[in-house]
Amino acid sequence: MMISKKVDQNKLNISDIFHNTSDLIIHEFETNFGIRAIACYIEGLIDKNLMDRDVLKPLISGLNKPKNIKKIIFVSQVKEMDSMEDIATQLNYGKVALFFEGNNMGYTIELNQWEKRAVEEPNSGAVVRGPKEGFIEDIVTNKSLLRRKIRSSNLIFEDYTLGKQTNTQISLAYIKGIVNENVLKEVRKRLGGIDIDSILESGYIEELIEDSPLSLFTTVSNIEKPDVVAGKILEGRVAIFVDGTPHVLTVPRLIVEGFMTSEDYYLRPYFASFLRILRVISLILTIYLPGVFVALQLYHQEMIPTVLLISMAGAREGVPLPVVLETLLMIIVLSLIKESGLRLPKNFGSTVGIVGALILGESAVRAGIVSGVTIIIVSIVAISEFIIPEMVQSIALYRIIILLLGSFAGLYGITCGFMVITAQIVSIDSFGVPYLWPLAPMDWQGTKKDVFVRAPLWRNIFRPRAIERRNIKRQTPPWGK
Amino acid sequence: MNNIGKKDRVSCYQVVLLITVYEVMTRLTYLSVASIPPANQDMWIVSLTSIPYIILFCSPLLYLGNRFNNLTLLGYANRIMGRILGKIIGIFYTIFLFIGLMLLLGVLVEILNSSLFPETPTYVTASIMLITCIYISYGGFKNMARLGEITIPFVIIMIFLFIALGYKNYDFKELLPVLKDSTYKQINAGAINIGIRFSEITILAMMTPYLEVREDLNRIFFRSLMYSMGISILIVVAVQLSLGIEFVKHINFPFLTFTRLLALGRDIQGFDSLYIISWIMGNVIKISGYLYFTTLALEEIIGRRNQDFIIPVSVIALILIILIKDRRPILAATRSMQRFMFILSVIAILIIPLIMLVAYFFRRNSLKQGKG
Amino acid sequence: MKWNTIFLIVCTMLGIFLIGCWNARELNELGISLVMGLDEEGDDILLTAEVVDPSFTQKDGGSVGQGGPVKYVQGTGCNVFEAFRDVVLKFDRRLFVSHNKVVIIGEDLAKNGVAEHIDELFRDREQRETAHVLIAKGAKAYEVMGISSGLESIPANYISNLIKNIKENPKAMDMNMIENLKHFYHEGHQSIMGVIEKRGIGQIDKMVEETDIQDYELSIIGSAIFDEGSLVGYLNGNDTKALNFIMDRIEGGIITFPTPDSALGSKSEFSSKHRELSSVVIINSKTKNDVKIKDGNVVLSTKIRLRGSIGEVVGNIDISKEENLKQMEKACSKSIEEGIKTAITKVQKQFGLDVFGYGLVFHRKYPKKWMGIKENWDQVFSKADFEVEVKTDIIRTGLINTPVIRKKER
Repeated sequence: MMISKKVDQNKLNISDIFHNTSDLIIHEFETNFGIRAIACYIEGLIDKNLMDRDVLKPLISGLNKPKNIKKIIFVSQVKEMDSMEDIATQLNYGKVALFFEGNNMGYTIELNQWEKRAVEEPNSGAVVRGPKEGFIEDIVTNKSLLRRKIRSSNLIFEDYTLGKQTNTQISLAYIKGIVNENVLKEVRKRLGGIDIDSILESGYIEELIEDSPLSLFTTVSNIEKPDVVAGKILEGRVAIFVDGTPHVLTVPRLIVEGFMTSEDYYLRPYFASFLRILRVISLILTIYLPGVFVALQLYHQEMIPTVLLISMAGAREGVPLPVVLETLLMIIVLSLIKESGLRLPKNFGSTVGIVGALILGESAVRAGIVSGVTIIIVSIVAISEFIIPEMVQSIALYRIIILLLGSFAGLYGITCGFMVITAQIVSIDSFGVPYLWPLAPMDWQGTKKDVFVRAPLWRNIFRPRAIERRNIKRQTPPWGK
Repeated sequence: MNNIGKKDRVSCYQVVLLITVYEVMTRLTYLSVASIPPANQDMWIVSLTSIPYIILFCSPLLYLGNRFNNLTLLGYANRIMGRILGKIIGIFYTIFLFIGLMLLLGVLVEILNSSLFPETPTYVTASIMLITCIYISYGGFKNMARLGEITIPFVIIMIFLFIALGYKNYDFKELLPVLKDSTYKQINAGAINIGIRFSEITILAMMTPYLEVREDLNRIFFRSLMYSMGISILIVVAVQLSLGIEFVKHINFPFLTFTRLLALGRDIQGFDSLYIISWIMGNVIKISGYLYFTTLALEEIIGRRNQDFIIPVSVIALILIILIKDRRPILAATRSMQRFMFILSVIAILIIPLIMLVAYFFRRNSLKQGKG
Repeated sequence: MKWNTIFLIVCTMLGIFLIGCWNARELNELGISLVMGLDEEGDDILLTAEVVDPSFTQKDGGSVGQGGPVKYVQGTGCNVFEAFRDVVLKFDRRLFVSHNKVVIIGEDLAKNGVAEHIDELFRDREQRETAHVLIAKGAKAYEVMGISSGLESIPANYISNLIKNIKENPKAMDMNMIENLKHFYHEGHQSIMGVIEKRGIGQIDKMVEETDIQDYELSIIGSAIFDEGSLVGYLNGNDTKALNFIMDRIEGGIITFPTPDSALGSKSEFSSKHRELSSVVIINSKTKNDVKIKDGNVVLSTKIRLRGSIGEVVGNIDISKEENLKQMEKACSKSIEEGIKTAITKVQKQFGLDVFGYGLVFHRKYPKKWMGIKENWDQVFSKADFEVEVKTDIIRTGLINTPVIRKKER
């Protein structure tokens, strides 16, 4: 719809587009030179003080010709637009639209300001050493947080608007010259293929662009901290910012990223490597321990050391449920405690802990409903899970499948299950990069530098070569080779 | 077969791992060297002597593989021998691979049922394995190779761990006297017998077109031969040192018994669970490999996608296994089985490739023209 | 992709519907057996198993009810396997023998030949090859089972700890099933097994009046000699120690020998009222066996190299002097040599069986001659000469050097 020269017509049109919504404010005024004008904005999205001081006051006191608008008002972003729909869209992003009598152009002025959370430490990925700031729900702030980490003209943002109803702002971020162009092309293609009514969280995007949507493992990582995103895109990845959420996506994702935290790179390499190995062990424990425990108890009692076997057998005397159901039950109870502790208001959190630990743990064993050994096993599973928060979603189901297989066919079932799930994982390519790189296909250089151990920084000369093969040199080390 | 995309190729390292583990799995399961003459303390020398024989016996297939490195075994059989003879050879190799698959499955079921699950019916044990292998074969050869890359190092590390842990049980005098109780002739006969069973060469011949660098075929063969024979000899020696030669001959599954004796300190026992795990892993890889290449051979003969055959082939294998296994043991009564496999291997590894080689030399020029 | 989901669903379904169908045994269905005894009763085999009652671990304060934390179950049958299955109808839990630590064989069964009965112990997947074998000397197996005079509440642990202690005092034989079988298969090496014996405990509290009830303890001193699978006799503790020396199974222990007279020291003011004996603790020892043919006769030779530390010195000798230490070493070597010579002579005369494994050495050294000799090796062995050579190195003297009673010379 074109913009009319008549202000009254424009006023009618714009309230038509917004179907007379109540939060659309249309302010009519007249300048000292007698030009009639209207200013439209959406309540709550703009800074009213600025509007009064820097827009309305100079306009009313000094505007003689609409063309001179940029000479008069003291706002950094003023745009001339000729389409009513565009202006209407812009209003949704917190702009102020101005129309003047006798002029078939509209002007949008950026005055957006709305309530937002302060930049604070995110809940996930808390670190002892390292920056504490986290992303917030506002994409502009988020982009600026990233820009503050990488002050380079090669850092490029590409904006998209997705979601037919929500018109959510999406922004790709990458570093020219480091990013893999093929990955970038693929991301653009997949984003372009999205046709959905709403995008409320980056999880929507994640699910829509994943390589292997039915797998238990995700091929897109989500991150809440700018330094981590900076690290990822400096390795050649592409970040996807979504407005309205503090979770930023990066692709391609490798499975080894689940074992990494930003802190690994800020701590001493030995300790960081120790933590890495600990995480790998805890991954194995948390997935396989219940299954192996059940398999050993049901099928392979000869493999348990005698003393342990006798005390396990003693603990099982009088327990009514078969060991599978017992373990399954405790895993479910554990998930219950975890979820309820997460969702409850913070004040109740400790109550859940007491209920879980005392009533369920202690009393259940005393009453002889579950055996003490099972409680120990499930607790180990729980604490190992907390070390690798990024993988929690993949693990939970995997663990139960292994448990059932173990109860059905012992170690044989578990091994077969392991093979099947591993076969599934190796078949995944995340945006053209093998998911298990550098383990399969084997890249010894990558494996020894930054997988199970975190080599000292000065040894880590190259970026992961699976992501981008050209221009992989990271540094010329001060010493060494 | 020319159109295998760059993305579906597998690297030299992956193939070496696969072939190595295929060969080592046989030794992990049973020691055929203990049941063929001379079957005394010189077993390991027999294994060692078999290496040159293996190279000798495999050279025809290796030569042909190098000449036609963009074709599988069946592909160049067709090229050289003409359509009808080629088809017959193709069918023979399909059956050969299928029998290999059956044998593996049978032995697997037998060990599992006699060492872990004596009351579980055969069909359950076999079908769990087949479901696993079907799934893996569906992923294609590239994914199988990657899976191998993840799991085979674990299997091999485990073998070395067991051999190291067994140190306390070793009685090095079991190896003495060297070469005194057996004659030169006996050892060579044994070595030939072992050498002719290197059936992994047929698998290698089937996977040639999948190689990333096809010119590496010889290197892959020699490397995997060295690795697998090295590990095999270690296994033979370790088993012999800790169990004694006479008992080895009595046991159906020597390495399993070997791991049952392992102990760390006094109380940490039960290393057989680790053995069972790594053994099952290796077997999953091996059986899915055989399944995949059996269906690939069928693909070449019939000309449909090999995925179409995976389920039918495994269902047939399952039925046959149930029929055979529920009648008699495969490993305990070895004599007739061994003879059968021996004859089959001689035909598959030596006779047919030799015939093809001769035919190739006669038709070399016409084949070249056909290519041009 | 579709295949993935179907597969996962099938697996889960299988898991859910088939839970515990075959072979799965809950721990509370098992009777964990720790010691197994085999006896002969008439023509039948009598099997006794010591089964742990696991609930004792749960009781507070560790108070153990009557009969201790174990139960004994017995079964009879024509062979071992039948005896096992006989238990099923008498005992409510399935006998689980994978954790057997010790297999005790009654003397009667051992005498009539045990070899044909151990087949089951290797064929059954549950049996462990690493279980120790002991012969109940002069008793039935079930008579020695159940005696626990140590601190362990489970008798099986008592016995297995006794076996563990052999490395402190090698007067007993530590043989497990697989070693036993290896010896059985070896040509030119008769099998030997450990021994277990029931003994009355000497009265400690003199105030208590003597009662009829006597407390027993177990002793594993000595070893049993087998001829092709049947028991022919026993060796005493010292001979067993010599046997362990020859078989190179010494991990520790002590050597006691008469203290050599000090060459330099003046006559001691302490007259030797009793025999002066000193001891050396074995740190490690290495044995080399050899067989030679001298003038048509077989000569067995054993060379032992031993490292030790002085454990006790009784007598007047200043061992801080180099030459005296040498004398100690010599005396120690001599004591071992004599022990070994006694043992070999005794075995040659009394049993005429090569329990030391010289036949294996012969086979390795003279494989050609072995072929002709192997049928009657035991006769050859019993007539053979032997030479023993021991070299001792004393590498430590403990915390003090000269014996306490001797004043140090200036």
